[in-house]
Amino acid sequence: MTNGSRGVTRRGLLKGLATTAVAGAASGASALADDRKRPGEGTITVTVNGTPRPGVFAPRTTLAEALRETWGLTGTKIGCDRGACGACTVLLDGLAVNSCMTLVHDADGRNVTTIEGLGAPDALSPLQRAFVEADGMQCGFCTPGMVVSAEALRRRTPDPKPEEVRAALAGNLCRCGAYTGAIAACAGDRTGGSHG
Amino acid sequence: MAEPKAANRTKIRVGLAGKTVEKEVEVAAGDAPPLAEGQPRRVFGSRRPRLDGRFKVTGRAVYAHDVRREGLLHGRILRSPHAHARIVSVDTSALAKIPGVVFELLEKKEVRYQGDPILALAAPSLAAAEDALHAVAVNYEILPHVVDLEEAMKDLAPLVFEKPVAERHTAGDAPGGGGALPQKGNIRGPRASGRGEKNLAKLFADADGVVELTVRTQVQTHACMETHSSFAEWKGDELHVVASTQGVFSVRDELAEVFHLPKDKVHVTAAYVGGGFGSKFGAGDYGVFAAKLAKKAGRPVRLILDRKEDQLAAGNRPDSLNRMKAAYRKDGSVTAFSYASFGTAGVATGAGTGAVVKNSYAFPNVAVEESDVFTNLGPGCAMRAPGHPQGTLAVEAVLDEIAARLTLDPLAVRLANDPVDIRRAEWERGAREIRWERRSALTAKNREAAAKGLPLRRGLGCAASVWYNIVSPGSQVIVRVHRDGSVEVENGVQEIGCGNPTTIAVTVAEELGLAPESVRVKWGSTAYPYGPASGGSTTTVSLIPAVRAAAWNAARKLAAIAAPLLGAQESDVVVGEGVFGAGGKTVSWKSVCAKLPGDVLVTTGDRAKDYDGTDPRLFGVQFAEVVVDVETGIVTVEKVVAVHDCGLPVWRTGVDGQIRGGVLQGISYALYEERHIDRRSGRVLNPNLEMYKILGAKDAPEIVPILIDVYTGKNNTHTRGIGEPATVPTSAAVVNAISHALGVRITEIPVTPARILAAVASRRKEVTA
Repeated sequence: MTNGSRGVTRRGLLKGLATTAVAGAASGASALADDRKRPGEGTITVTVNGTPRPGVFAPRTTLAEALRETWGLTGTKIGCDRGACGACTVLLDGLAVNSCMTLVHDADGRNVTTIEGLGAPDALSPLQRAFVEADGMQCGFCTPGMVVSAEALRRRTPDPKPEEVRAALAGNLCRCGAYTGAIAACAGDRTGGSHG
Repeated sequence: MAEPKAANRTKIRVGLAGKTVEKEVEVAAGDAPPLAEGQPRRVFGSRRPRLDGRFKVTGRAVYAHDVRREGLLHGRILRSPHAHARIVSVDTSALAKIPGVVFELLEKKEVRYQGDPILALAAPSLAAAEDALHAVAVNYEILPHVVDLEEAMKDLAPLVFEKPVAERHTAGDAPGGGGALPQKGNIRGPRASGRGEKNLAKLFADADGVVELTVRTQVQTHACMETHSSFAEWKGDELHVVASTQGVFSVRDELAEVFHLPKDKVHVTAAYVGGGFGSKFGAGDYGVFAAKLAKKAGRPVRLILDRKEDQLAAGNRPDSLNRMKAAYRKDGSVTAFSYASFGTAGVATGAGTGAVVKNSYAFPNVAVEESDVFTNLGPGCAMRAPGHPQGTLAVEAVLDEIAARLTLDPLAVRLANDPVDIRRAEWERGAREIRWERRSALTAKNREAAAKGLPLRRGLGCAASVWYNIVSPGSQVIVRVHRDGSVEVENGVQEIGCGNPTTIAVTVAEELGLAPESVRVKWGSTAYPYGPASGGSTTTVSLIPAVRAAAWNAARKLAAIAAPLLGAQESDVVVGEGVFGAGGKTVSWKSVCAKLPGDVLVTTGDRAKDYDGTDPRLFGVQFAEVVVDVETGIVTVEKVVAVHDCGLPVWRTGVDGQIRGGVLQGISYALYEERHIDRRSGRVLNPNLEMYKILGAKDAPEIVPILIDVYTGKNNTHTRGIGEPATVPTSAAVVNAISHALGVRITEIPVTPARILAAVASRRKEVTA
């Protein structure tokens, strides 16, 4: 994936390796198949929230960076840029991934759903509404990632058990400590958080 | 302009709700009369979703990290990789060959910690900026370093500073401090304070018993999810900044000073801020760099610290070493308390922890000595209730030890030292909720489990909170009522998670008989009237009485318009839900607004001075229930009951959230968070979020926030803060619960599995010996 050219930093290499693991887990054998463009070769197209987004990117560009800096979708946050905090969580072909640990080239030809794709301030998704009603946030910086992780869980498990909710949100750090509201919202309990 | 009217002396009822007493206070002219007990309230003090929530859950809330502009440059800071070094040379010649790069070199001969800034630069892309950092060659001469508190206290330790160091203060710091202090080696201090007898020796000699205990706490980093950052853009000679800050006005003032600009030419906004916890009060070196680089480049610059820089150089809660000696009577009451604390804020000051022993309980004789110890580590700064979690952990361990020696219930020892009626009500309420009466039975069960070789132990612990009613003066609020009935309210205060947009809207809505959702709040900008910094539990108390005054003034003006429509005297007109009423008749809000003589009614409100009297302290108690596995060393916090007072809450959902967050930060501090440092190189090994562990969703216990309403009689809404008191006692309650579970006094945090296993082993030794 990385070719050891001048532009590749140690950090970039580490990212590339980690991304391989994530992508491999997400899409199985397809990540290994050599049918996609190599990094740096021409335009790639990522379908973001249903809209095809073409772009030309340096090999080390992460999906998070492309979303935020190139496509202006700043709802996806970068809290650590190392896959530790989950603020950058997006859905890649329906699965929750850390977009800071995914190279944009690995998203070529795939579907990405960001927080902006789930709803809008005047058209909240049911889960977004639940987060507001259970007050599953304070400063709000980790909230988009938290909502996307919750969305991924609810799509595969519409009626999750409490331990499944906690496990689904375990990769999303919230320093304000708004977990109880977020857990209640994700569990479908709109009043079990701060209104309890 | 009207003549200033004299203040009114008014009789009001103050104290615990339901147990208030009459008191005469002086209400400033033009201020709203204080809310009275029993006065019905529609939305003030209610539970409801936060009004900016829909922007946060959709990713539409814009933070400093998110600012984008055509031609944006990305800033980065070159930092020392060494703990202590002399800068021999800095070669920036390679930067000239990289297109579009500007830089700013600090005049600095020495770096004193890993992460100490040397140079900042900006480039057209993040990648280009990253590469440019590598193009700068710095030649260092490594100097001896010290990175350990107790090593730094030794006589021959390497010196962090050759000269005396002065103390800085920020809005989030505890009151007091400052002033000149002796400095010997790396130790600055002691700062002595206390109360009662100066010489405690006789009291120790005459006591029924004396406890000596040393308690240690570690450094905690703020780890705000949004790292420190600033965006700067010059338009002509005016500076526009979007900052990740707890105080837009303090950032403005600082930048105005740095650039010799009048305040009206510096504009700072911070609508949404991804956490602060005390670490984001000033402009920051990153903020100054961003503005300087933007000026040099003639282009906007956004400078975002990466997580490593944030963990190394953007502040932390200092560690502490607390040496204590307490004399007590047979009933558990403390007669004398001697307290010496040492702590390192790295290259900064402010590690004192002695406030708690003076302020939390009624110990009659207290002698405190606090010292800062310098080390070659990133600067500490204010962090949520500076010094208080540390001091509380220390003092509450002593109280539990006294209880153990006297075979008294730990709660009885608290009550023997705590005469405050609010706190006593809180102890009673919390004990009931956690079912404290189980404690002695649990002790017996734990002994049984130990005898049978079973792994699980259960413990209960408690601790008290103390913080202070701190008002930052000068808040002003503008309310605008339009002829179509729409309402705007303006104040510059930033939103860092406390929920100011919601508390402001709720307060205005209450006064005007409207729904909070229909009040448009404009916040987070120096373009609006002055608002307080968000920190020190000062925000709501400094702001909300001014909000109410502005809305109250608008309501009075509108009542004057409504009076003739109702055929009533102005003074008889009351505000109802969407109406004005008098003598059984009502007129609608809209019809009154339509009669405004001008296009818009503008009223203002000032934060009047606090009324005199009443205790300036905020209290609170917390109880924790834990389960400890003595085979794995893993602690599970099952439940925390947090009973607090914050005057009359403006918005209960927000207060609950602050309490829950404070509790979780306290648990995280007690059990998980630890900065690991390689002593030989002086480098931090885990400046990140994967190895610096903060509490996650799986670790969050059941939390029961309980609020005791208090009519403080200090301002027109009886408002007080809650952010700091909520985190002050948590770690102490958790650690005391662990000590109870194990039957061993735990005196150092974080209580990692290794420490649990060591404590269990020490007890086994004791038993076999």
